[in-house]
Amino acid sequence: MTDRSLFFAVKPIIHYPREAQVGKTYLMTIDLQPEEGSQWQHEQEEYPIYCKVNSEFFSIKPVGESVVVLHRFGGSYGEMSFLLTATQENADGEINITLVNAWGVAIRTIKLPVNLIKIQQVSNDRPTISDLPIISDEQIYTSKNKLYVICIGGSGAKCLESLIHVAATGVLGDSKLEVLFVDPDESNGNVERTRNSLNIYQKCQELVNAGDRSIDAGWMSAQIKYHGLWSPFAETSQSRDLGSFFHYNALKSTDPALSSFFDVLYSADERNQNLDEGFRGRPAIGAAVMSQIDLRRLGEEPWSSLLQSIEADAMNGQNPRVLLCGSMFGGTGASGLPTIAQLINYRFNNIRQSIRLGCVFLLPYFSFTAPPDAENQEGLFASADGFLLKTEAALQYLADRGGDLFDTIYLLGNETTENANFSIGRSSQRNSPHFIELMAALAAKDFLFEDRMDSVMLLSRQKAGLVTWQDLPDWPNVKKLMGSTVRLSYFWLSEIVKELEQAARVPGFNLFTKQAPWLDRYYDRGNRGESTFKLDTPNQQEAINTISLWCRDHLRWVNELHQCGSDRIELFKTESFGNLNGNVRHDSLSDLIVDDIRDRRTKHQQDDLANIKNSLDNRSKKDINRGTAELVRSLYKQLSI
Amino acid sequence: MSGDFFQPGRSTITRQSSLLPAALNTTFDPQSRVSDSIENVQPGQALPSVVILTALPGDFLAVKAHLRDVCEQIHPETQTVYEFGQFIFGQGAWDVLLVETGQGNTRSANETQRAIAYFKPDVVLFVGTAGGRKDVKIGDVVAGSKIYNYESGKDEEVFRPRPEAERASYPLEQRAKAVVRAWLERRKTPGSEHLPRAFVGAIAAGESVIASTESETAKLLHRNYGDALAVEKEGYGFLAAARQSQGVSAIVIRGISNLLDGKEIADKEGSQELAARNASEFAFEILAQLHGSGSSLVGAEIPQENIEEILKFDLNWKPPTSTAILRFEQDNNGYSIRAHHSQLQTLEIAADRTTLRIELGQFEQLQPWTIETVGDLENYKPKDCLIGKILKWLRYLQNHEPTFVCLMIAEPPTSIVPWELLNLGDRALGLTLQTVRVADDEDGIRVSSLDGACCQGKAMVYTTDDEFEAATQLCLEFPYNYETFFHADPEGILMHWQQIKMEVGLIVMTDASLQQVAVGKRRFFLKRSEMFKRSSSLIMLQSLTGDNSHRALATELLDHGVAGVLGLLEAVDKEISQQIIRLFFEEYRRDANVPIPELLRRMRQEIAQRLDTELTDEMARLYLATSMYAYYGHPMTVLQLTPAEDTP
Repeated sequence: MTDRSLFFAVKPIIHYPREAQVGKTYLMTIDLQPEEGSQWQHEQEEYPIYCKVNSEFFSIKPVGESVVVLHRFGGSYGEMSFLLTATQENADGEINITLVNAWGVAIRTIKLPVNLIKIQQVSNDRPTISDLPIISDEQIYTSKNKLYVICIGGSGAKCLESLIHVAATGVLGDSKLEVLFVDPDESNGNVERTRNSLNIYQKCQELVNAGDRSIDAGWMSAQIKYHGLWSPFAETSQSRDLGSFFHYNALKSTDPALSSFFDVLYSADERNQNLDEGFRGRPAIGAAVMSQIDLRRLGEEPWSSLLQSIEADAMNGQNPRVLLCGSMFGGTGASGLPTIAQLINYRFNNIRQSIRLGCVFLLPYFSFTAPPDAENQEGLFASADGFLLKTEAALQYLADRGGDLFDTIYLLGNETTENANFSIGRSSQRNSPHFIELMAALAAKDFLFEDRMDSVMLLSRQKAGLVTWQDLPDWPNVKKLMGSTVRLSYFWLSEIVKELEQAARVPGFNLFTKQAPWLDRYYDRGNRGESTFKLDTPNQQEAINTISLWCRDHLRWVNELHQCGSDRIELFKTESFGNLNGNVRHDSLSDLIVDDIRDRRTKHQQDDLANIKNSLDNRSKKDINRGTAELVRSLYKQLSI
Repeated sequence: MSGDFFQPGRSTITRQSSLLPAALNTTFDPQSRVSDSIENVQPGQALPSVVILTALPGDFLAVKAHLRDVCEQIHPETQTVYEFGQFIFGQGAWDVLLVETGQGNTRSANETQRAIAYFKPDVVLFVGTAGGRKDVKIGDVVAGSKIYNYESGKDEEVFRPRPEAERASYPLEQRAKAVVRAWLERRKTPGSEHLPRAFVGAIAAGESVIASTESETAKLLHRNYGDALAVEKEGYGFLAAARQSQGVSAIVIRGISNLLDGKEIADKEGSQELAARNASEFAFEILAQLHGSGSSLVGAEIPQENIEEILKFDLNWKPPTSTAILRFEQDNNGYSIRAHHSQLQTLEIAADRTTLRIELGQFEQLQPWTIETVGDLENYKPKDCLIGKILKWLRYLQNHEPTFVCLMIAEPPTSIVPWELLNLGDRALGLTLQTVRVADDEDGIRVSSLDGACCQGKAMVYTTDDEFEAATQLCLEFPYNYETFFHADPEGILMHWQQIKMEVGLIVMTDASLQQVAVGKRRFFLKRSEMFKRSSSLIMLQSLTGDNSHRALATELLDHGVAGVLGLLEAVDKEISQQIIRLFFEEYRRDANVPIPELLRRMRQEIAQRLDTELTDEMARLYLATSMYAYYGHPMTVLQLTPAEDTP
């Protein structure tokens, strides 16, 4: 008889295709993990559990040995893999897994439901975002093309904020980006935050890339050049209202008919409203202002240096890519984006074939409720009620006129709208990052690396109200790179900075290196005379501070991205770094990424504090590179997934 | 004897000697399976997929040589014949669809479009040979960064070209450049200077075969497409078609088979094969380095299935020392066998598909069985091959574990080995051991209970009009109560089972009725039949009409509550089959308390003893046929039929 107390409880971890296309081959993995609290009461150190997978709907082939070996230290030595090729169509079938113990006895059968779909059927369905073919890994994220991003309005600025953080992770490889803001509201809170992120990134990127780089086209390798912010009112010394802009008072006497027509188009409030804070959600005002931009204006800074750079690239056969980015439902983006695109088209008429022009248009993805007395206090203000109507009008315009304007158009939208705080503009207009802006950043990546022409692609996420890794284009690589970067930021703040601070505080760095020998690998000891690699020198302290600042900014962005009210974002488990001012502990390092597929053993090897520090203390490289930049580069390599 | 051990579609060996042992002894050492891991795709997701197009049969075969598990696929509408297989390398795998387009840009464009629409690949490659124009030697490889259509132009007094070009996808071009660099590095190794070189550059494509550098076309290329490294006939059409498909990356890879002049001489020296081989090598090196496709179209919805159920099992549970278990598995790459016993280290061996040459399917071709067949089997002494190692392990167990009497065998329905007929020492295994065939799944679990079922109650015989006489004859010799039922249609049996209220210990089917009922319908009735839930019944399945064993039916019956099934592994002549049934009941009459597998063993032993004294083909056939009877169920199941009142 069997002693029931010797029963061992395990949880099967199975990855398999719930739906499969006939003719496609899928990777299935099976692992067994002891249930929490299970006691190992067995004579042997390890027990093999063999696995047999069969199904009348698949041709099945094991990859390597089909056995999971359980060991007494709470896990298995690794999963087993099978390749499943779907052979029957339009069937609801089963995959049977039989677990066999060390003595050949089948101890359990697991039946998994699976739905098989004919390949042609699927082609008629709307593909999901993960359908985009992904042929590249981070190593081939190298492009000789340069990406020029012109961000228009507050939403455009927010997209750029996401693009900066995405570029930092290495998703754009070592590409070169040049950016310009267009916004009449120069003090817009979103623009301000993006400029701040850009400033931090540029400093950190310069620091990390100084000396002999040891990371190839990965983290911090994209270069971003900032051309500044341009406002249509920049050169205007007169009052910044629509009437003044069009010399309305003069018109009344010189061309009464035209002034009357102006009256028909714009109310007195609209004519007299100060536009320092943007176009207040009114594309009609924005279109009028923007239409006054002419080629002469584009000859001025900051436009001139940006356009010259585009021209030079085009002449040198570099195929520059110019991406305009803004919202379709507000004032500045909806009016500015087509206008600027037309001007660029006109400006580069002769070399247009050598330039790819694209745009990212954001459909309404947030709304707000204005306070009842908003109009009295603020004059004209944007209203979310008209977003859909304005979007419809803008789409109509784009359909009529935009077809020839752009080589590629990305339209991004969401089923539900996020509730934002009401603001008329300026520094108070500061909204949290939104996942749509992350998608915009990935659209920019697509625009940079792909040549999409002459067709329409519709992509959707898999489940409404939820954003997972699988919803991101090129998700395996994006997940790997974003995951690695968050892990680096987290570990830097939770562990490395603290040790560096302590080392700097302890009199006698030599003593401290006995407890943290890895410090010795990157920094010179106190008695080595003058050295730029001493921990307490200003340049090393500034470098540490720069990296910490960037890590904080990056984690802030990731965390805010997850605070979306309309949708559940399941990319990272942000609880661990939700409060960066609190005590950030390294314990959660293994648990930061949702669906982290590394097995338990890998996690232990890669994330164990002692292992990480041992890897940093790689003395064989002692004479190569030193200093904070080398430290953070080494750390990134160790923490990359 | 006229047959050999050759099974169409299953073995690649050619027909050899008519002597069975000679064929069997050519088996060679098993090869361990390569331990691979797939890292270029997320678990639960589809492998990245590639369509490879070739123009010529030689190019096709050079590509195919890199694939595993190749099978044919037919386009449902156009009847285009594709070959589908997997390219499995160190850390990853690709699904590969291979097609031969024929020559010319138009054909290649058509086939490219069709293949992309059919297979929805991530990548398309055109792999083949080309004439070298500039900077290249025979055997070198050119990956086309752009393909010129050199025939584009206006034909006036002189031909005025209007250059058209298609570009390769940027990521593939980049990856090709990386492979070129790797090949360059490889050539630097001393002794590797002879290795081919590779280039990424322009290729010109048109409809002409250019056989001289002095030809008009060659001059046209020289004047207008001076940077073209190679000339071929399909690349432009291929890239033009691929460009129309969103999201599919494409590139052309060509091995240089001639340098325009002297084409025929080069071809005779085997330059076509060399060029095709090198181009294929290059293509697969590109694929091996393209990680992270993961472009499952629908599989991505729920990539991970966490089974909420916690499985509890006793890791220390062992079957009794009387029992050993053989687990025999087969996939497209070959076979693997594990032999388990609680007192002996598990034997685990694998072999590729050509090494196992003794399967039941091969017996079919040896019909009618003769004394010679038995002689061949007795002479069969496999040593180092897969079968030989298992037999050696069983012999060792038999010599060292006196209680060992029962062998449970789990094997795939497509590849059944006639274990009972193979030699274990100086006697056939089936004469020494009780054998029990088990299904892959639940049967093993049944073994974990030491107590077998007792099939108790009345006996019933189901027969048709045609079989009635034989059934009656059988029943006359039947020493226990039985009831005979006729059935006009097979479903009638299943409906009858729903209505029976008495205990039924044995059901004899005199024909293949149950196999004729559609599987779904059979399940429908069996699910609703209370008889097998109430009774513990043994079902004896008789003659087979199909080409497969009773295994699938037996498994299904067991799943629905039947205690045991006696079935046939291979078709047996009806007359012989009836003799065996009689023999079975003779054994049963001698001792009703022994488990069914032991009854079968005794029956085999009885026939074997008769064969020792009566060396006729008829007896040999009977002996071979007894080994075709297999029992599925618990090894300890016994039969206790209710005696008839008037039975003495």
